[in-house]
Amino acid sequence: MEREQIAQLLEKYWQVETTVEEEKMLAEYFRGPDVPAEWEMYREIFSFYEQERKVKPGEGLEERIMERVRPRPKLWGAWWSAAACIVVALGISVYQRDTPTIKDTYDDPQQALAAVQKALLVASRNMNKGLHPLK
Amino acid sequence: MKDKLYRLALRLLLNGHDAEDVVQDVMIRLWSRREEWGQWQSLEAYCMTAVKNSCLDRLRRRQLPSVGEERAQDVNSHDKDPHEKMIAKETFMQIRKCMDELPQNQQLVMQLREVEGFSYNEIAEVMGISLDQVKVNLFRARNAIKKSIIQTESSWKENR
Amino acid sequence: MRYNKLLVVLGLLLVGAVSYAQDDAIGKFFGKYVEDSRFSVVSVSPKMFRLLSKVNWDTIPADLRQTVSKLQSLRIISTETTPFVFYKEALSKIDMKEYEELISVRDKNDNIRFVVKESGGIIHELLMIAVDNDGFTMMSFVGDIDLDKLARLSSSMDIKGLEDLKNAKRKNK
Repeated sequence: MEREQIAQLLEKYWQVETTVEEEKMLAEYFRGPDVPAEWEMYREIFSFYEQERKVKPGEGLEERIMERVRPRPKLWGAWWSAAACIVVALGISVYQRDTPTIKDTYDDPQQALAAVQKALLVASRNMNKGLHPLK
Repeated sequence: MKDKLYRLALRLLLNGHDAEDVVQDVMIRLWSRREEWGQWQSLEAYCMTAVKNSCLDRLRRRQLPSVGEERAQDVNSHDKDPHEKMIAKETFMQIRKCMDELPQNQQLVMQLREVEGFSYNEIAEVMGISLDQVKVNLFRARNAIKKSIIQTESSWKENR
Repeated sequence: MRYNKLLVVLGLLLVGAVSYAQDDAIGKFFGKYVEDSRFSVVSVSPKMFRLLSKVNWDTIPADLRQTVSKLQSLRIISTETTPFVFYKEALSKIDMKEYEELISVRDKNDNIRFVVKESGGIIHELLMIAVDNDGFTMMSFVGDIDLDKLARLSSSMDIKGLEDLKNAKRKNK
């Protein structure tokens, strides 16, 4: 990125007129090798924030949280995160999803009833075939 | 997300264990309210706000200033000569000192913007302040840091 | 993103607690072929079953009436095209962890299987999957199903009833 552009962005930055994107550009520039001497101190500032971003909680915080939320048997391990990846695809809104319904074949309850009866009889007959083979 | 929550808590509480406790509590509370997730705009905003509030509560309840400061990382040292490394570390410490001495709201805005990259709207939501107040705090904080660095630099230059 | 991992794990638990009414064996199969002209489909929804109770029951035998009144839905899908191929496909879609095999009939020309979904001693769903050279049919009854009653239904039928049934079956194909 051109020095001139960076200089302009820096001015905007101190005036709190930059967007998140522009700030990312500044951070990226200052990560690079060609920072002029008079801007060295700004590099330190952006570097400081980057260091801060690397701070992480102690090992196992995640596990401890999950244990409190829902204790699980230890042997799940990798299976657990594999299954979790599938859920990402489904998305969190899954419990709000409408279940798709298949259209009713009949509008007339009388006809529907006739169909139900027939179906029951077919099923029943087949069941008996299985229970008492005719052969 | 838990990392962002942790960093926020750490900035306020300055204690790693306490920060972890807060994060844990908030996540568990989040889980207990999972019925409401569908109604919320942002789970992250909820958690960040909850962490902030939880930390402020703790700070109010603390009788003494925070004991046992724990900082989780070292200065990232580049390939420089020892003198430069020392200066870099000095500058680094200077920035940190300046940050730590900023008013709380300015610190929070800096944490959320500079470190976590939140938008002004998101910051306003988490902190419960107006958009203008976010910008004012950011302005003051950024320029305070800039000023403290320039002063340090010039003092170093004078001492060489 | 750590955020997603945690959330996702919570989400997984959430998913486990949700039941998909239409995501069962026949639901998946249905969904795939409902628009396919090779298949004929019958669907009587829970809503329609509720309306059935208002219909004239006089001509219907008591045991049939009782059985119908306890049902919630009926879905039938059948085809005459490559019946054995679809039969295998339908079977493969049945999650045997959720369903238990009840009866199966296997002779030279046909294959009939009944599987059920049961919990707390009640049969919630009865699936019939049948195939022969003329066609393949899958039927799902959802509700409170009494197997004994169901079995007795056909044995109490007269010959005319059976004839009607045969004709109806041919008509539906």
